[in-house]
Amino acid sequence: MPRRGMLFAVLALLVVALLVSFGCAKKKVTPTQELPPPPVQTTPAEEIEEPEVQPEEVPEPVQEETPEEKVAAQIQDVFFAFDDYSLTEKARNVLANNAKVLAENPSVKILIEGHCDERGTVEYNLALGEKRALSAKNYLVNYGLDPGRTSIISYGKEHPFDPGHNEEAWAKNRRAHFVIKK
Amino acid sequence: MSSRRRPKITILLSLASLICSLLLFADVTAQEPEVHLEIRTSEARSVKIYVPKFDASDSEGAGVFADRFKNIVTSDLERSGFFEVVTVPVADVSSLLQELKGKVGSTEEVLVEGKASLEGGKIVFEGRLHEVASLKTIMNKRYRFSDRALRRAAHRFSDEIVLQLTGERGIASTSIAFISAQSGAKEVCVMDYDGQRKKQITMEKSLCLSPDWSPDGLKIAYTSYSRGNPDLHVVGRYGGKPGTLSAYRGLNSSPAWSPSGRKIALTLTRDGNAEIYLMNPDGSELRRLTRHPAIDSSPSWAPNGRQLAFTSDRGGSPQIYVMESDGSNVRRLTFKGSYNDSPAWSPDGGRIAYASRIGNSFQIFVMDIAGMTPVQLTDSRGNNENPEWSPDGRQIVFSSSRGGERDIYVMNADGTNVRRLTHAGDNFNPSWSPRPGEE
Repeated sequence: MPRRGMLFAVLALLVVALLVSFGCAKKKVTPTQELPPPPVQTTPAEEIEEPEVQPEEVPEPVQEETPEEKVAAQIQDVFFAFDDYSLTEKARNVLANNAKVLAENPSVKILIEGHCDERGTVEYNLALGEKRALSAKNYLVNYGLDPGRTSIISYGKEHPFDPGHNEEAWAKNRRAHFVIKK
Repeated sequence: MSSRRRPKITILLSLASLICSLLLFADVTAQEPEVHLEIRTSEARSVKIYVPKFDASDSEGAGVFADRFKNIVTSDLERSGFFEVVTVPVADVSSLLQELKGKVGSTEEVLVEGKASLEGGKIVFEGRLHEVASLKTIMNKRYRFSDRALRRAAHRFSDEIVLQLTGERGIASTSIAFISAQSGAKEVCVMDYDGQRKKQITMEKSLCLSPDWSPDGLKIAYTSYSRGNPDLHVVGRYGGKPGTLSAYRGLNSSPAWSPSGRKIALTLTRDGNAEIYLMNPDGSELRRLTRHPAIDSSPSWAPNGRQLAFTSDRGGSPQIYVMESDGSNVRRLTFKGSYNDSPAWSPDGGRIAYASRIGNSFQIFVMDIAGMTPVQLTDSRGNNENPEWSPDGRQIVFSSSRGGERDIYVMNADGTNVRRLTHAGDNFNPSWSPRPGEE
């Protein structure tokens, strides 16, 4: 403690001494002439700009979608009730659209597969599946489709789309499935 | 309703047979507890067959063959449903016969004796049937065969025993054709009636369906999609190159060889709708039998060849009908149930087995040919379908999805004693062969 006190005292003295000497020195200076400040030499700044990235779509070489691809993209399957091959209103709407797509692509030939759910015997379902495929085909033909462009086949219950054993699966499996013929 | 009543009847019958057997065989049942496990059919006749260990000549290999032969014969006799089969682990036939004779009851009792030996690289089996009461030898058979043919020889011997004791040849030498998806494609396969020796006989690499045996047992007709249309093909019972029976546009399905073998009934959609036709087995003389805008399918011949049962939805739902083989006199047989299909006429002509929809499952039924007294034979989950009779009319083979995928099962014609015959892949559409050499 006494040491630190001493230190402070010395420092204080030094400060006082400095202030006194500075004040004395200032009084001694006599200004002669005010010189203008030297001109500031500034290097011009480089302008750096981030270029705008603007990719532009290059048009692909024109590749015509084949009629088969067009039909495949738009044609839809139709579904049936249990042990039934009559067309629901929804099925008729789907078929009307299928007929339109096929009319726009007259070179495309289609195979309509008839399918059934797993209930019922193998043979009866073969006949039922064919009735479903035929229902779909007849609707298209009545819409003006050339009958020579469509063929039908029944797989009965042998090629289910959904292997499940519930109504959800069965509903998917009772269908007329459209296949584009190559 | 009938489904609820059936188990009770079965229980009553089992109880009755149990009481009878207790009364009749009170002196021996205590010694052979396995007897009552084997007998489950209410039709079982009271013939008791003892099967002691089969003997073998000194050469060691023969013993193995004797055991295998005995196991097959025992299984055949049990499956026949005629007998109480009692296996005895001794080989000394003469002292066993003496012992059994001492306590013989009112039941007919017989004993099978067998002996295998090796001769020039082949197996020789000598089998005898002894009547216990009289100690008389009532049958004596001798077979020579290679190792590969052992099963066939054993089945032959079993059938001779059944013929000797019942007057009608057994069915142990018959086969079952069916469709199997085990190879990936659905192909025609044939196995022994007990599910052994399964062989794929087609290589269509496509979808095959509905095999049906020619009445001489040499050929199988079936539907094949291998040319892009469900055509009717025919193949030899042991495979070979298939021929085409019919290839009309649309379905060529559900073939049914007439009992005489001179006609094949089938379903065609060539006229725009599923109708039943007849043709000669070479495809000639096609003749249409049904004329109705509804589905007509799945013909099954009466054993007299004069009528056909078939499925039609002309009444609004699939039901079973009968017509004369010229297409006349169509009448409906089933009125109960919303979906009855897959008729199979019994070999005695008196009954028709079929599949009927109960809720979301299918069950096997049997009715008389007037459509009366339908009796439900199966009661499992999944679909029980496609019943076909054994040639002796005592058993029914069918497909069932009770285990998940479809598999082939057999049961007695009263629904008892269900046995599973296939275990891997999707197996369905069974068809029971005639007895070999039977027209």
